[in-house]
This record gives sequence, C-alpha cells and structure tokens, in this order.
Amino acid sequence: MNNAAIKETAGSVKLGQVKKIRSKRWETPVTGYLFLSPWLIGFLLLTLGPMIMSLYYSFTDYSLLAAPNWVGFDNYKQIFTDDDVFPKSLKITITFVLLTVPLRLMFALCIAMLLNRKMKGMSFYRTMVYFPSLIGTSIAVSILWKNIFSRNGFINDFLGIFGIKGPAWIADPKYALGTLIILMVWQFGSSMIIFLAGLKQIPTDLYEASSVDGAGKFRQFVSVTLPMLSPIILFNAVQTMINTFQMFTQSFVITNGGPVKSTFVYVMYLYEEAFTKFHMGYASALAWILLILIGLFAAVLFGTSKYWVFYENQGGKK
Amino acid sequence: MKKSTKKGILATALTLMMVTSAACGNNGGNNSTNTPADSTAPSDTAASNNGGAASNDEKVTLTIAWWGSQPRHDATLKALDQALHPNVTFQTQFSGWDGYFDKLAVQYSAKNAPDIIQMDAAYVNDYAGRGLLADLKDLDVANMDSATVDGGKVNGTLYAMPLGVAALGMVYDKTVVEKLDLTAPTFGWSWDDLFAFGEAAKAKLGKDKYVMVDQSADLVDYTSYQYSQGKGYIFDAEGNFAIDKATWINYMTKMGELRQKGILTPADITTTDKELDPQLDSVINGTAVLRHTFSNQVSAMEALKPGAFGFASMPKGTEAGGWLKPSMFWSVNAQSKHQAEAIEFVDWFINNEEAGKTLGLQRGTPVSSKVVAAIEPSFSDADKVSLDFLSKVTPDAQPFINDPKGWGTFKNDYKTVVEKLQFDQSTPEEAYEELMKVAAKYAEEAKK
Repeated sequence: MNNAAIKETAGSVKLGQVKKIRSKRWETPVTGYLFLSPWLIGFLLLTLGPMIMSLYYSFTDYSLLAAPNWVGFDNYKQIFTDDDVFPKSLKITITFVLLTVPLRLMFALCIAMLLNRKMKGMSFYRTMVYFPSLIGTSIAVSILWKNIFSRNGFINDFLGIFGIKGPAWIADPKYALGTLIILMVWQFGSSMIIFLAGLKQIPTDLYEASSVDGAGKFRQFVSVTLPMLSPIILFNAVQTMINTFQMFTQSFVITNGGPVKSTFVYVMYLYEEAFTKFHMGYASALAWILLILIGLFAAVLFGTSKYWVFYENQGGKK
Repeated sequence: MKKSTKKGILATALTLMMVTSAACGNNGGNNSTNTPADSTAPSDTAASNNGGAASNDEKVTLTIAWWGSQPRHDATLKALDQALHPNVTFQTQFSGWDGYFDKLAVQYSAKNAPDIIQMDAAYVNDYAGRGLLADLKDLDVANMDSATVDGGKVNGTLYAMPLGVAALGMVYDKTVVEKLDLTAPTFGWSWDDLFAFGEAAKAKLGKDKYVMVDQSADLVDYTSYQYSQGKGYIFDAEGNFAIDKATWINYMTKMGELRQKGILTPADITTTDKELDPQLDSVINGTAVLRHTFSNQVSAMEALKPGAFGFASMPKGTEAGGWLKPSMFWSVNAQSKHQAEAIEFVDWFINNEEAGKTLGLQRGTPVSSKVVAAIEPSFSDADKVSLDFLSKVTPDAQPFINDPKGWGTFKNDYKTVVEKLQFDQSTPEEAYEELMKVAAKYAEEAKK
C-alpha cells in the first residue's frame, strides 16, 4: 500500500517524506540491536571475551598464580602424546554420553506421551512431574542422590525389603558411573517439556486418518508420532549431548571422580588441572579440545539428520 | 524458502547454544565472595604507610578465611567479636577442608583473595614460593619456641605463623574395646601390638564390623610407617622424593593381608569414609574401632560422642611413628591492601590471653607459652585429653617437614594409586611403579 503510494507520487515527493522513509529504514535495525543489547553485551563480555582469553591461555603455560608465557602448541602436544589421564577420562565421558543421551531421550519421550493424554487433573500431574526440574539439577539434587544411593540409603533399604542386598552404588567402581547415568536420565524435565510441546503440535487429523486406514497405536507411533517429532528429537539429542559432555556437578559432588577414578569425567579432569594443580593453560587447551569434540558429535548428528529427520513442509522427501 | 528458514533457525540456535554453553559452562561452584578491600579504597595508602590501624580512624574491613569443623567456626567467630580495634570489621569465609584450597587459588587469580588466610603445611612452600604471602617479621614471637616458629619459614623468612601444635596419633572407640574386653591400644605400642589387636578384635567383632579404617591411601600413614622402620622422612633434605621401595611394598602387602582378613575396612566403605563427619566417619558411626588422628581433633570428636574415645600413639617399629606438626598457620595475603592491620590481628590472635581463652585448643595447643599458662585453668576435659595426647607423643616425636614446593597436591595422586590396591586392581609392585611415574612428573615440575 505504502509502496504504491510512493510510486504514484514518485516525481513530486516532498523532501520531508524522503527523510521520513530513510530514517525509518535506518531506525529498524538500530531498534532491533537495542532490544538485543542486554543479551549482546552479556555475550560479548561474559562469553566471547573469556572464550578468546581461554584460546590464548591454551597456548601458554598460565598457572593461575603466575603470568602466562607463550608455549605454542606444547599443551596440545602433551595432551595427545604424553598424558595418561586424558584418554581415560575421555573414554569415561564418551561411554557416559553414549549411554545417557538415548536413555534420557527415550525416558523423556515416554513421560511426555503419558502426560499428553486427555485426563482429569492432567495439568496437576504435569506440574508434579516437572517439579523436580524446578528445584534445580545441581548441588541439592546431587546431595540427595548421594544419600539415596549410599550404603544405608533409601534404595538399599528398599531392596532390603525383598531380601536383596544392594551393592555400594557410589562406592564401587563397577556401579558408580551407572548411578550417575541414572541421575542424568532422571533429570529429564526440560527435554520432556519440549517433547510435550512437540506432541501437541502434531495435527490430530493425521491420527484420525491413520486410524481410518486401520493403523493401531504402535503403528501410529512409528508412522506418525516419530516422523512428526523428529526435528524435536534432533534438537533434544543435540542439547542433551552437549549437557552430558559437560557433566561436572554430579561427579564432583557425589563421587568426586572416584572410586579409583571410575567417574573421573572429562570436565572433572579439566577442573582438577585448572583449579587444583593450577595448570590453567593446560586446562584451557583441554577445554578447546572438548569444544571441538562436541562440535564433531553435533556435526555427526546433523549429518545423519537428513536420513531420519522429517520436515513437514519438505513434502515427505526421504 | 519456508523450510530453509525453519532449518536455518534451528541450526543457528543450536550452533550458538553449543558455542556459548560449551565454552562458558563450568566454573565449578567456586563462587568467590566479594572483596570488601575495594570499598575502603581511600584509606588504603594511609593505613599501610603508617604501620597500623591503631593510629588511623578510617574504617577497615579485613577478609579472613579458614577451614575447620563447627566447634572451630564457633570459637573463631566469637573471638572475632572480641574485636581488637573498633575500626576493624571482619568479613569471614569459613568452610570445611574440601575445596578450601581450590577456592583460594581461584581467589588469588582474581586478585580478591582474603587478607588473612589459614594456611596448611602442604601449601606454605607453594604460596610463599610464588610471592603470594606477606613477610610476617613484625609479629611478636617472644613467647614461642623458635623451632615451632621456624615451621612457618621459607628460606629464612616467616610467611606463615603457626597457630598451634598438633601430634599425630590414633583414636579408638573405648566403649567397644571395653565391651569386648580387649587390650586397649597405648601410647608407645608397636606394630606387632597393632596386628595382634587387629586379630583379637576382629575375632570378637564379627563379619560386618571392622577393626581399623583403611587409611593406607593417606600419605600420612605410610610416612609414619617409614619413620617407624627407621628409614627417615619421605622427602630427603634436598626435597627429593625418598620413599624406600622395599618398605613401601612391605607396608602395602601387609595392608592387603589385613584387608583380606576383614581387619581393615573394605574398599567401598573406605571410599565413603570421611573423617569427623558425624555420619560418614567409620569410627564415629561404629563401623570400625581405630584410625589415625591429630591431637587438635580431639575436641571435635568429643563433641560428637562425649567420653567414647581413647587415644594412642602411632605404632612403633625400630623408631617412633608419630610427629608434631604446626596444625595450621595464619598467613597474610601479599596482595592485601591492609597488610599492617592484618598482621596486627594475627599478633593479637596468637598473643592475647583473652583471645586464647575463647579459642581454646581448636587449632591445636597454642604456640605462646604465656597463652597456654593463662588458659590452662579453664581447660575442658577434652582439652586436657588433647594436651595429654600431645605431651605423650612429644618425647620421641619425629621431625616434621613442610611439603616441598610443587608437591602440594601429590597426596591426591598418591591416593588414586593406592585406591587401586584397595579395589584389587593392582599389585603392590605395579602400584610402586605407577607411583614412581607420578612422582617423576612432580619432580620435573618442581624444578621449573
């Protein structure tokens, strides 16, 4: 409309009008950036700045208590050639990620589907299920976990009722990592909420149409729910993968990396190098390797996504 | 256009999230508290130039940090309230031992470490060697044993003021020993006595109770054993690592046997054992009978279970196994803007009799003979036990040496190596080789 009006009076436009249009054109992005600025300033100062610093430190021998000296690629060289702990902690972390991510996604999806039914008082149930995620996924829950799984904790008392003598969950190297995986899977709240939102987006006519075609519940799940949900699954998979790679609090609080380093995940190692041994430069290099590693895993997920992620507007292209 | 936008937004969001969360994620729960030093900036130069707050009317806030258990926190907070000077207020940061030194390192790197810092013998050389601690030559140490004061010196300069002396010995559950009619451990007992006690006690305790907490992963225990076998300290005079191979393997083999017999706590109990924790300390919760302890921990134990404990020395071999160590130190931050006030406070803390009365033996027996004389009449029963403990270990105590620079965290790696033995994942010979590999890394770094 406005465009047409301008065209009509193209020859005899008044100066003021041009100015007004031009200033409008410039105004828009500035206003946009202004609205973005709280995040932008935070990102530049609190994230990008420290990132650049840590990249710089990774090429130095910075020791937290003394000034850094440039050492080139020495830190990286040492990590890959002369470090016994690095491959061990990496192996523990990757095992942890490969087990946690699928389990947590399946669990979150199951709960989301349960909560997606039409039932009286459903919003109450949803609140109750999401509630643990509100009280925080960090220190308090970790301490709770430590108590529940301790030698005389709730779990072993419960197993005792049936005459089963439970193992020392967090004090035995065979079980400790598994106990932490259960904790990570249990902290499913945020993925579950996203799944739930995704489930609600699926048009009911698809289900109606498929049931007319004679599809049962399972068939509907495989042929309707999963494909329609696949972008959400990708999103949750990537997000959970990043979180899991960075797992620290649980290991630090519950097992402190032990017993016998069986839960000494990558970020625990990074933390120990940085803040216990003061090898800040070395730890920065470890952090960048982790970033690249997470990038690689994400690239794999995105790379395979064209085979299993279905976008509605793609028209069902396989 | 529509589909690519949707995909693009998802990809961008994920990439951004990945970059931001991957890089800034973990600062490990070490939230340093704010620094009050900056808020009094105008008075800084004046205060530090005229050598003390006493002649200065400006308000000064000193940050003070220590680790300890609840009775020590209570006593220290009470002492701080007795304020030496109306212009000085304190901001306190106290916690348990876990994470204390991690936090301190972060605070130093952010240049907001406390003004007054409780220091441990393991870290004095590390911190003083990096120039992070102030010279404490202005302290009045007239009433103190010079050998004790020397414990806080690095290359002849006093960087850490010893606050008390503590003796290494053992604690046992007296009620259990009496009930089972066992020969109680004594001051001056030998390793053979300990082994005999172990066998006798295990026979009466039964399957689910143990005689001794397995502290073999604690470097303290082996250090004591090497001393008792007449092989000297685990570092030589030049600060080189000097664990005797045969002695170490002997010790670990013997500990393995005790573990097999159920005299030592099994590995899964050992890993969750936490000294002085009301629920997790195996002696306090009744899982085991005996463990090593320091004389300044007597009152903390007594507070948890009054009258339940008896004390003994570390077992003897050809020599005694125990030693006296400065239980802890006050150091003053070399970056502090209020060094003079901080030093004045430390001086008050170690020399003032009223302060001594409030603090009791929470940091070990005070180093000032004047303070000890003043507080002796008001000793509690626990204090008397602690003092008795100290005086019985003193006659044949082994020398105590601060950990050499760069070896402050060695005991963590030592623990990991010995844990493998506890969980049967290694043999003493393999563990020794691994330990030497770890030690070589520390030695290399200490040279830098």
